[in-house]
Amino acid sequence: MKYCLTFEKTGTLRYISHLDTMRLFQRTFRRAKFALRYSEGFNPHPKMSFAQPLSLGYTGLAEVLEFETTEPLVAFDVPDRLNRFLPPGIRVTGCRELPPGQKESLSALTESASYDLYLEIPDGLVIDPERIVSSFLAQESIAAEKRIKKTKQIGEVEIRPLILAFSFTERLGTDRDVTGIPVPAGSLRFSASLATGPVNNLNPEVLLRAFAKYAGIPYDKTSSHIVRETLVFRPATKFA
Amino acid sequence: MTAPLTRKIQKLLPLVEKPGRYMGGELHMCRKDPATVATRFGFAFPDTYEIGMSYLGLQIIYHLLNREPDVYCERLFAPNADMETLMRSERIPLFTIETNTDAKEMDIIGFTLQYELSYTNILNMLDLAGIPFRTKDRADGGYPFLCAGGPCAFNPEPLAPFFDFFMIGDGEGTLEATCRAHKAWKESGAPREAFLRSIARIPGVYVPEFYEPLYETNAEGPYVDRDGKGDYAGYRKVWEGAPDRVLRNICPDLNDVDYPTEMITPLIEVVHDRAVLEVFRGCSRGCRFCQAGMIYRPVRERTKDNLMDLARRQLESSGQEELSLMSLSTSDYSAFEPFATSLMDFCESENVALSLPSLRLDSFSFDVMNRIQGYKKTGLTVAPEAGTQRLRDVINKNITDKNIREALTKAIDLGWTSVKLYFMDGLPTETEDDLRGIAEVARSIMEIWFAHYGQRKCGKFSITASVSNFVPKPFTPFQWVPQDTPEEFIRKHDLLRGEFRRLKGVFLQYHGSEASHMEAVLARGDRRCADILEACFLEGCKMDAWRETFDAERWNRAIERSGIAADRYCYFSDPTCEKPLPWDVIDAGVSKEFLAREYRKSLRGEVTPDCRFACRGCGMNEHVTCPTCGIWKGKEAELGENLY
Repeated sequence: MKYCLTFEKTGTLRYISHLDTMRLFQRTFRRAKFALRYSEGFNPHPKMSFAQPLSLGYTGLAEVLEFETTEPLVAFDVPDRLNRFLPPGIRVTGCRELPPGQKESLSALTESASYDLYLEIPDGLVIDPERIVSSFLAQESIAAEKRIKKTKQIGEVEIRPLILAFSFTERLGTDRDVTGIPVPAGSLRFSASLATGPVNNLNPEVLLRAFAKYAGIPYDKTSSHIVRETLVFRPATKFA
Repeated sequence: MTAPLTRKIQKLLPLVEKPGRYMGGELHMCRKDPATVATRFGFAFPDTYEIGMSYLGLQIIYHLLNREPDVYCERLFAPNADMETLMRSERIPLFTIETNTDAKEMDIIGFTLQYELSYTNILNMLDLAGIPFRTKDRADGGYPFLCAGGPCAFNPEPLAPFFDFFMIGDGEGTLEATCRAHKAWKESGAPREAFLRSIARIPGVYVPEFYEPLYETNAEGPYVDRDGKGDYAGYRKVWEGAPDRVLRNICPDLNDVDYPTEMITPLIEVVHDRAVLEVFRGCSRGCRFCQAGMIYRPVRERTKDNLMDLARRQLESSGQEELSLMSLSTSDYSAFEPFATSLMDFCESENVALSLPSLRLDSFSFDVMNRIQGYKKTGLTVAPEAGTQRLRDVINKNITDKNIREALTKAIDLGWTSVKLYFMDGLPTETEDDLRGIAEVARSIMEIWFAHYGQRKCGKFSITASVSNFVPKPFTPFQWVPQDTPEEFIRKHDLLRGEFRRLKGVFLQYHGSEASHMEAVLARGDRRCADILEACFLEGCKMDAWRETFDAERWNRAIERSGIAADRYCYFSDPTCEKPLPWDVIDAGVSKEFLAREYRKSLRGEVTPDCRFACRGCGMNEHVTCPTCGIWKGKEAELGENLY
């Protein structure tokens, strides 16, 4: 039986890596006594995977995990059964059974993701975000700096086609707690929809870095706060 | 109370490597309202989070203390270099993982002393906490009481000027009694010293300020301090109420003490990331170099039923996928075969991987390993400790060339393709022949492989010989022997390298000789070593247990700066076994006469068999019944040579 569940990853738990989150769920399934299906072979491991890894430091509000069991579950009960054992910061919000025989993994079906983005700007920097966003997007080509995994060097990638939507939401009037992250007053808030998945993928930080550079806003690791709100999947096409 | 530091710490998390080290929130982390307890206890591990969270003692102590309604035990670790730099520049003090409280606000901070090379981290952590190092500089109050325990606390003297008290021996009992005394003292409003007096008679508690060490004055010879002081010359009590000597705390039966089944399960990967079961404490083999084999006597086993229950509960509460057994030599457990069989059955049914370190390589162990490792054979570990039978007899390491040969023949036959061998160099009476013997052991194992698979498959088999520099430790028969000089170690390493060069597929590993020098000085040092440690802090020594951060030049500058004749401690030698020792104030349970007898026997190459055959008169039974004493009486012929 195949299921998928959605969960939140908020607060300091956003500093737990992809692999550590995986281990956390494995242990939680064990504690909740779910009969997970194990892979065959000399080193059996439970059949479970995340639809999309969430980078270290990002908050996720509807992350997706799929898993297989050897015994049927009541999907409706799954969140309560797991949440009893999960640390504050990780909360399962829903679960449903996947259609029997669906061959494609959710990871292969991921198309895009929507984000709530916050960018801190230095005191005294005067900018008009709405105007800069529209001129930023009006460019035919946007080259962004990206660390190439294989060579570990900074390379340039074309990101314009990967930005499905990007708009300015508001300027924070006061300090705000965004799912456990303190974001200072004056920060700019954006909303974005970006290509995500095995074929086309754009990391929101690459976008923010390119935007900040374009807008003349100094940028470092601590300038941005990234919340992934939803993952969007295309319908499955392959069934066994 | 100042506001928690959480906000400030969180700002640093995106900037450091592995933020999970600093943020807590793990499964089974204890949450209490600090306002509701009498004693806030900071358990401090003087190394990184990943090392500290792999240490079983932390889990035991955390559990014991947090079970007390009037105590809240929180954790303190040494931050890694990147975090430390940021903490210093942002003026964030050392903080507890649980509530992000300033370490200074704890009532008691307890450091665990697992290895001497962590001592410099203690001072660095105190500096980060803004706590003066020396007890006398904290006398006006306002600071936590500092205490320490663990194996290195058996010679507390090098750290004595920094700590208000030490807890020697098993923590179970001493810790709770100390915290209860603290509550009573706090309610009484009495001065600081009243607390120390109130705990001086708790079993295992040593309060250094009640004892004054004496030294030779106007000394001559190679080891004289800048102020003219010579060797340690005993101690004198300065408060009559203190015990003459402090007997270590001993739990007679581990089945009576609580063992944690809800252990803190880290969110990030740590060194040992698995459920751990302490099968027994103590060891009956009597290896003469081994401090653990002396200071944890007698062997105290948990019953099989108790262990099975603890295993089940621990796995259920943690969801861990691996279970490991912990004890000094696991196969010596008296019900090992039935226990290992039940445990393997249980782990198989639960899909839990079982790891059994420190197995004796007899035929049952091979059955066990074959079953739990299946096709995924990890390396095999054998610890001959010395290269020749003669030297193995000197150190009382009961393993023969025949044992090694038979075990490796079997292992190779069963498909093992790598083996790790542990040796020491610089052992008492060692000659060049003994060093060549190390290479000879490796060569003979390679030959077994060739005999089995032929010369052409030589690349498929690998042997790693790890040679560590012998450090004489307190409360061992070798507490009276000098360590080799760094130059001598280097010469020996060169000799070994030459011998190993001719062996294909054999790798030699050895440790830096300067770090071993530091370890030896601190292991057998007296109170004057505190001056050296303070100088170490000023020179910037920290994380000295890590090869990449240990700096021999800094260490040597610190010795120079302190004016203390540090070499006196590592080259200390007393064939008469009569001179006063800095750790004489501690009674580890084994008698000095026994240790001296063992030392003399070692020089004659005489072995002392396992005390399960018959009592060897170590003196433990004057304090406690030895549960495994003589249980193999009359079985010498049957068990004899297979008991390595």
